[in-house]
Amino acid sequence: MSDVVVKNLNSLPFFAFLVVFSLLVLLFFAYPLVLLLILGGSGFVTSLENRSFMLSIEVTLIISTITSVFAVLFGVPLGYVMARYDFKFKSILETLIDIPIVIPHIVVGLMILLAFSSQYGIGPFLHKFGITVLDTIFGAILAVSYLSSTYTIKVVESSIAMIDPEVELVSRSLGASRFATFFRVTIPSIKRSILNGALLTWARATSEAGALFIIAYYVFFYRKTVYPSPIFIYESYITFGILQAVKFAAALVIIVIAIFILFRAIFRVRGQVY
Amino acid sequence: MTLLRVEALVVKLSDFTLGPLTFEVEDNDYIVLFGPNGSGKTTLLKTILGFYRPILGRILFNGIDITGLPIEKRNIGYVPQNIVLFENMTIRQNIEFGLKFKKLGKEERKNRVKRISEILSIESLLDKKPRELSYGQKQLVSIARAIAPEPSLLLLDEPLSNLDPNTRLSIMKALRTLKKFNTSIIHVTHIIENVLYPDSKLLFMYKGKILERGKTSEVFSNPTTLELASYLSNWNIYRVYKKKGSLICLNDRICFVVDGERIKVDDKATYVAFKPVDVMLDKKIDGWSCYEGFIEGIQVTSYGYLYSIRFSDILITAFSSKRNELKERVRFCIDPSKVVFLRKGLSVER
Repeated sequence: MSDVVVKNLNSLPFFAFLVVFSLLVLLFFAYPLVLLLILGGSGFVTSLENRSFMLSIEVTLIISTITSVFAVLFGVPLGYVMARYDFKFKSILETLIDIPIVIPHIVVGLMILLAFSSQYGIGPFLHKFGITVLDTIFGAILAVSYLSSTYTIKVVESSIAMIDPEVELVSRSLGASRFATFFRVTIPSIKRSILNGALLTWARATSEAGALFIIAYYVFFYRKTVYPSPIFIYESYITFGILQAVKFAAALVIIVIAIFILFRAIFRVRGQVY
Repeated sequence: MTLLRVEALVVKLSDFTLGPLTFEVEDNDYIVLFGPNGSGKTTLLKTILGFYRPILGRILFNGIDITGLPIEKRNIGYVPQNIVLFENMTIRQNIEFGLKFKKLGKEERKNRVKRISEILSIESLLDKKPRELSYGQKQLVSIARAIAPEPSLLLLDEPLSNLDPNTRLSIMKALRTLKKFNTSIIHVTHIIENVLYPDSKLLFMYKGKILERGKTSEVFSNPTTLELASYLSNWNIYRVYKKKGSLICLNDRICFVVDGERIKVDDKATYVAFKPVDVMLDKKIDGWSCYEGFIEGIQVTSYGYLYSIRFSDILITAFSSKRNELKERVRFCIDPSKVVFLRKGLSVER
């Protein structure tokens, strides 16, 4: 009995240290959010009645959803390659995958504009077919994909690396081709991780503003000019001031978090492999 | 009929070379691939499976060259060392998986799953998910899944390792039921105790080569290479100190007369070896060579004790179920008819 007490007394400073520091971080996360919701939450309904705000939400959701679909489509094969194969210059690929996280978002906006607009690189070729990136949803998707696909690739890579490659060997020994093994064994066993990666990409894409300042400050949508929602909030901030911006901001946060929680609840995504 | 023929096979991995190896597997054979870790057993297994491509030699399966054939076209069953079930499927779906690629009807698939799960006594697990199973149950499912498409060759990679004694016995029993499936088996193991049948064929592998081959019981009681005898635990192995006709000496004082014929046959033999059980303690036996020494070490086994006995400059390991004390003076006798002659195996191609 006395042993236990002594032990607890000894570890008390350590637990105090853990609790105090953890609480400070959590408080730092919660406090601004709570304040935003308190101050802006009252304007939630009126925000939803604002037609241009709802259009901007719609545009943002279209951009981020298509972005995460593409991230899965292209990110899963790449994540598989990175997890399963060792080859020369693999580290160059690893760096290339990480680079989008490092480059300032506004620079990515410039890069996409430079790479796909009418004057340089493959821009003139695309332009011939009427494909333009400036102020289009397509351009916004390109910029946002550049910035947020890495999250899907990384999550998929680490979850595939956790699966014993012998599973695939067994599957093939049972007569399944490489394709059948990939789609029937590998993909189903990392289903949740793929959804989790897609969700991270989606959340990241929804909040993007920096690159959009350059490439899609507004987009043409149903013959109207619509601001993607982060830019809509920025616009209302510089035009009407913080109190108005806070209402839209709170509404955006509530919608995004609601979708995030709903999605997680439906697929019970928790980051584990199965 | 020859089912599998491996011809002059050489496989090169980054830090390991396997072969050249040549051997055959007949229909309904049970072959034991035996050897220490890192001897190339699993590499050989995975080359037969089609995972590694040999740089030389070829593999014939039913007379057809399958050296370049993809894994999925070989119809060779595989039970890997790490149990890897398809976690997203039920046990039934796991077992049925291979049958779907056989273009079998639904009814036929159902019957096969039923028959196999009855033989291996896993019917009650069929609707469970892999994560609900114990390690031993998973191993049974892994075996059932491999055997379901009725491959004519089944590769088992250490199926009895990492199991507690009771589970090991039940998996062993299950493996013996595989005879009902008319399949040849190659069983990889690094432990003698895991061999299912004493009369099966055995290949002893060491550093990528096959050093000994023959009937399991004979290879184990009569090793001819230094490598195998050293790997069989606790054998007494000595370099021959003096050889004169049929007289063999381990040092100036321990000598015995052995069968003259055997020495002639094994002229290259430079080592002799005998088992701890062929050294008798505290009994004088006619025709045996007897000496007196001190007990220098005791090792407990589940059947009795292994004693290290010091006699002048050498140590001799003897087995006895009787308990003796450290430093005790004991008489020990060596059975000369059980002494085998060894040569270095790696320098000689077989």
